[in-house]
Amino acid sequence: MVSLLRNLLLFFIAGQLLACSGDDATSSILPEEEAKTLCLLFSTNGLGDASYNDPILAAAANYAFTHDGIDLDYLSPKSLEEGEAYFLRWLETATDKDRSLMVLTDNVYGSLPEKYKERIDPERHCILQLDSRRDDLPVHTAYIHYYGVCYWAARMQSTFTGTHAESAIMKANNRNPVLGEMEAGLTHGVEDAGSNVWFTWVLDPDGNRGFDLPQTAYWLVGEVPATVSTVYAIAGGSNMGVYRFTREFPGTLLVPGIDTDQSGLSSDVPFSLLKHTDRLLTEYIARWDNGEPQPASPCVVGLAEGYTDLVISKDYRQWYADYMKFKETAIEKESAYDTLE
Amino acid sequence: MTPSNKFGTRIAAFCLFVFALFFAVACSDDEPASLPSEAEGTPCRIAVVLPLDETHKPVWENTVELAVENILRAQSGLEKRVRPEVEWYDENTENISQLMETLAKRTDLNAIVGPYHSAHSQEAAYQCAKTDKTLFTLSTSAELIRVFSQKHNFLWALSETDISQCEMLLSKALYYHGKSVSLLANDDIYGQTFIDWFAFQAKELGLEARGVHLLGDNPQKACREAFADGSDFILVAASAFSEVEAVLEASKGESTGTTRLLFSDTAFSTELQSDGFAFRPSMIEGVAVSPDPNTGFATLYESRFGKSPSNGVPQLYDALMMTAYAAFLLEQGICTDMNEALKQLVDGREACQANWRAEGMARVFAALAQGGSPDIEGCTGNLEFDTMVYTNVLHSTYANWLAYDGTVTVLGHTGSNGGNRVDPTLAGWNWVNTVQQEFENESTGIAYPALNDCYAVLVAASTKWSNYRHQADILAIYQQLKLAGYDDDHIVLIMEDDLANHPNNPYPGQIFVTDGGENVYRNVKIDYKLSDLRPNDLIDILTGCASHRLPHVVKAGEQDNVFLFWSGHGVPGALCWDEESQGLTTDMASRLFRTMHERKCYRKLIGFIETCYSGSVLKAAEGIPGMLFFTAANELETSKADMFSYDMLTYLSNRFTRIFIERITADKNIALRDLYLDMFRNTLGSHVMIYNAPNFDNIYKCTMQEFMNFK
Repeated sequence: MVSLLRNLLLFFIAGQLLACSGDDATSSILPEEEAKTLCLLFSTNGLGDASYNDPILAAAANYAFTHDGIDLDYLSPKSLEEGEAYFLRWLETATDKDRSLMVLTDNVYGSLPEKYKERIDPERHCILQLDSRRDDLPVHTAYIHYYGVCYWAARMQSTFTGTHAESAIMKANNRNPVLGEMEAGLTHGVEDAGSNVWFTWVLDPDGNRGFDLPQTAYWLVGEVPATVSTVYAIAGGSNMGVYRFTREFPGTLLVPGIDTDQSGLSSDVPFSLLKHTDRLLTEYIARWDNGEPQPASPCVVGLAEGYTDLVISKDYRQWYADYMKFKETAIEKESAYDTLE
Repeated sequence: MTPSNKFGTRIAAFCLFVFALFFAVACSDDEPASLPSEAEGTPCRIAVVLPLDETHKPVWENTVELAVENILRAQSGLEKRVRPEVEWYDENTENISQLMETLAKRTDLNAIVGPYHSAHSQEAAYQCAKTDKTLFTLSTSAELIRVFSQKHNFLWALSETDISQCEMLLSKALYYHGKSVSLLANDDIYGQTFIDWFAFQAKELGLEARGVHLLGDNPQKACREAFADGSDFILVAASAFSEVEAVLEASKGESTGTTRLLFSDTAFSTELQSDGFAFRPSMIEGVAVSPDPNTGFATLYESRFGKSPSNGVPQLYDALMMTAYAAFLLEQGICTDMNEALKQLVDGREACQANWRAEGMARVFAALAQGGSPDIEGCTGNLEFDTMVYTNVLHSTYANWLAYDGTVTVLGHTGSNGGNRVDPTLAGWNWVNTVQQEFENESTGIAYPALNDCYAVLVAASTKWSNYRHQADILAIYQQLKLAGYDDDHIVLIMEDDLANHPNNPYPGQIFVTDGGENVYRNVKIDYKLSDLRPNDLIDILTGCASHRLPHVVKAGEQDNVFLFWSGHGVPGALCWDEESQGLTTDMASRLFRTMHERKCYRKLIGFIETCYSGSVLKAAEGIPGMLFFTAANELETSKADMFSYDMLTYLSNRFTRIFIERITADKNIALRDLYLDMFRNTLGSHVMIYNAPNFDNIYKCTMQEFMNFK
């Protein structure tokens, strides 16, 4: 009898354990796995640029589409205030650093982690700030050097066009450090090839804008003398004015593409400088998703690590058949420049 | 078995029973909500009528797949849900009229989306208007909105009319420092919008419109003519992609100089991104309605499907989303009618971070379930509709696209400029005219004798029910003349008189210029049927040359004023005379005016000419003393019909005439210059012009009282 009752009791307990288990994800014994949330905050009206922001969104979307359990949320705000409000809401609602990642895609938001430093809880908040070299904030920072690929491009181009052919640079402003680095790389590359930069235009010399002046860019580039063969436009949306000029006056200037392959914009884009922010972001997302540690901040990468590159436009491949020969020099230069900074 | 064993066995059986019972209930109803499966939710049936050839079908299917997936996900956890069910119909192979008639009558269908082509959209709207079946169109011609916005609220156009697209193309030409433009288009429903608005908008934007050329059956010839204009830009509003290819082929052989082509959205088609597109070496540029770039829709769509969304994709997506929202309101019992539900939806202004993605849609569904009025957004933008007639979104985003070497790139985005809208109604074509004429406020030096008498000639230069408005307007003017003291001896009235007893007339013996208005066909004495006269007869009529065939003529002399009002059709260089396009030509008008002047058949003559391209004829009056003409349009513009009657199924009036009557009724002593200003500002879609003011009088001082001596 006792033995019978003991067996029944064991049977009962076993039955309980089996009753609500199994593969059903909606089991009431195990809590349901909520999707992880990947949040991206873009610069104001940043999406639709087809150069920096769109590839970042595409990278995040590709990851979310191809990996189960990731929800994607993003905002391209109409104002910085709206962007800040989005960030704050996320700070308040995120509960687990392993389940929600916030990516600040533009260094215009660099002040947010500092401003809300006290509210950032390392256990609740996982934040990635792109285009930043800060190491004093409770966020992951990552930065892609642009100096090396700029040096490479300019050195290659000036060697190809000859020392008599000058270059010109058009940049958005003097305050953006990325632009400063690009200008340095381009200038050094041109000079090391024995040529010179005829002029550098600054579209917003006293401020930090200049990224949305395509008409101004169009008119300025029309003033270059015949000695200038190449214009490097590093002014965001203003670059469109330069590409437009080359479409209307083909064969006048060569204008390399910036950030992405822009050979579709003009027949006078001989090559493009690529910045693989999308790849960098995907790696960070994957580590976060898999619970792996992130690299120490700031994570600084560049040409040597393959996060920048050159792509030669289809119709120019014969022209630049030996373009690789300057790459190693460019990597060394970038390393030296980074040390100096 | 011993008694103790029996007892133990019963205990065991009882325990087993209890155990089994416990097992059975152990796992009930604690399950958290799962994603709705396709089997859950009330069906929301949507008929999609689009081209389903092998190039387009996958694009539409991808879009529907994305929309349905997000709609279902967004309702996760909600008690009541809707489940989109799409029925596919091939626009290319179906008889659209019959198909739409059938679909419009179905009560189990929540909405129809499509068709793609403007002509089919028009037919679809006609059928849906009969039953108020909710219809989302992907293409929006001006005619579609003008006809169907005034009464019903069944039509939901998810882009601004092509009037805005025409504006975008011209703005692009201006942006590229163009000074002159020409247009290539068809005179079909799609092309007519561009033909109607091209010259008007060009003038407003400060561009010289040099020509309008019809593609027709010979696009090569039209192309040659367009290039011969020597314009900086040629806008190409082809009605089909095959015509785009024809234009490109034709332009290859042309010495184009600096003339550049700009294409409308027809060129931004799936074919442009296909491997088979032949014009890879050339750069092709144009504009097209696009998703709002800030929504990220284009990027995510391309990430998922490998190609950027082509023309029509964002509108299709938003149509499905809006249908689901509206059906959800029905399901909640908040509304009982789809169109009312949509009106309520688009009127919502409560912020809820809505967007086109599942997360954003979820916030909308949640708000609707709680009786809220969320401010909805789609991938085309913020889905703001006109608050009076609804009908079409107020603002669309246009992409400036470039196709080169097999790649399509978006150069940038523009929104239409709402700054020149008069009011939200029919936002697409309610453009405030800004480029008006200036006149000197001084005497012309002409000494006129004392005024003795006034005569009038009224010409309704068209026939048939479809041209109802011309005869109606002329009759309205006739009634005004009677009020102003004219008798029939002093009026020559020319009209076909085929309307009052027309089989289509629901009010036999009556003619109206507004629904429910006064009958203007009362006590009318018609002197000549249009078909009994030739345009040349006007010379005899206006110079007082009576005959057996023309017994009633204008007996005016140099002390008598003459008032002329003409309503009908026009072509460049001529006022049509019924079906005859070359009715009163510029040369004929010139001869008429010179003859009148030489024979001293008037003291002052004022004319109001309500036809397309009327300026091209009435400029013939320039230099002839004492003549002044108001025209409804300049030399290159069409004049727009205005008051459409669903009762009569035709336009009743033109705004030029209506404003004229309103102004002279309100102010019988209105100065001609003030009259011009009012007519200029309120006649939409064309520039009211005055010709020959320097040879007439000081129009700041000269009033209508000289011609219509109201008691």
